Amino acid sequence: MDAKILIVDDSRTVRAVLKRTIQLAGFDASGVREAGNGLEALTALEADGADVVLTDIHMPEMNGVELVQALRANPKFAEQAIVVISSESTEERRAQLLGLGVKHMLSKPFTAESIRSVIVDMMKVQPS
Amino acid sequence: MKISAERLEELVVSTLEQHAFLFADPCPSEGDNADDSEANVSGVSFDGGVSGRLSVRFPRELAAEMASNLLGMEEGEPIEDELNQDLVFEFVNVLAGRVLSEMSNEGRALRIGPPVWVGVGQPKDADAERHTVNVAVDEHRVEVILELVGV
Repeated sequence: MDAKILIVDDSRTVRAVLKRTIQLAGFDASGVREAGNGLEALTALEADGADVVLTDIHMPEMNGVELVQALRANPKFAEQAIVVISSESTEERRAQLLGLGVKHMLSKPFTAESIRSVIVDMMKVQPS
Repeated sequence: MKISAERLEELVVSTLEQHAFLFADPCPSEGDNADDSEANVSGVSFDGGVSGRLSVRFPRELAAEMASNLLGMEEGEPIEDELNQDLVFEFVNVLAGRVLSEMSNEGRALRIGPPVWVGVGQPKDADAERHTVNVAVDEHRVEVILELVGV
């Protein structure tokens, strides 16, 4: 499957693990790009866009929640498909992200199947 | 106490399996006889309704096995310090998220800090309620200590 996927996480290792999981889920690795924080993600999206953004929450410079807020405030990315992946899965956080229009929040540990499922769902709902 | 030692043990075993494809079984503690020379001890602090720390003693060889499982590296291939740190930190982060999520669900809003290295033999808080879990992955032992203050 082809999809333009942007991984946003401050850990190079976590990005590598996620990229490999995305490959195991059946997606072409050539469509996967990486950003180390929210600011880098905004730059990458402005340059090349993405079908789906997979982002962590806790990052330096600009965290995942701030990234979502910045995207929603920009008409160009107001409908951007976003999946938040985090070990933090409190009801409070889920409610906050839902309020920002984030439909999918994956709790760690994630599986290749759960990654595949959310990406397919996001692309179906919001085709590029 | 808002999480039992048995539940903590279940979460350690299932997180090793689901996150890192490492299959663990509970084992007895080695106490002060534990060999820390090839282990890393890292942890996260948290506060909120209750404060404390969750720390994990993780053998370096097992981190290499985790790298093999998660990144497809050659089995037995030595791993760099940065990769070792990232992998262990991420495991601690995921485990802490699951443990504290269960405690949050019982009405305790908890804030979790970033993972950090914790020195072996660091002084323990005498007032903390402490739960220790030991599990074995083949010949490797992983020890998890949950310290709660203000329970």
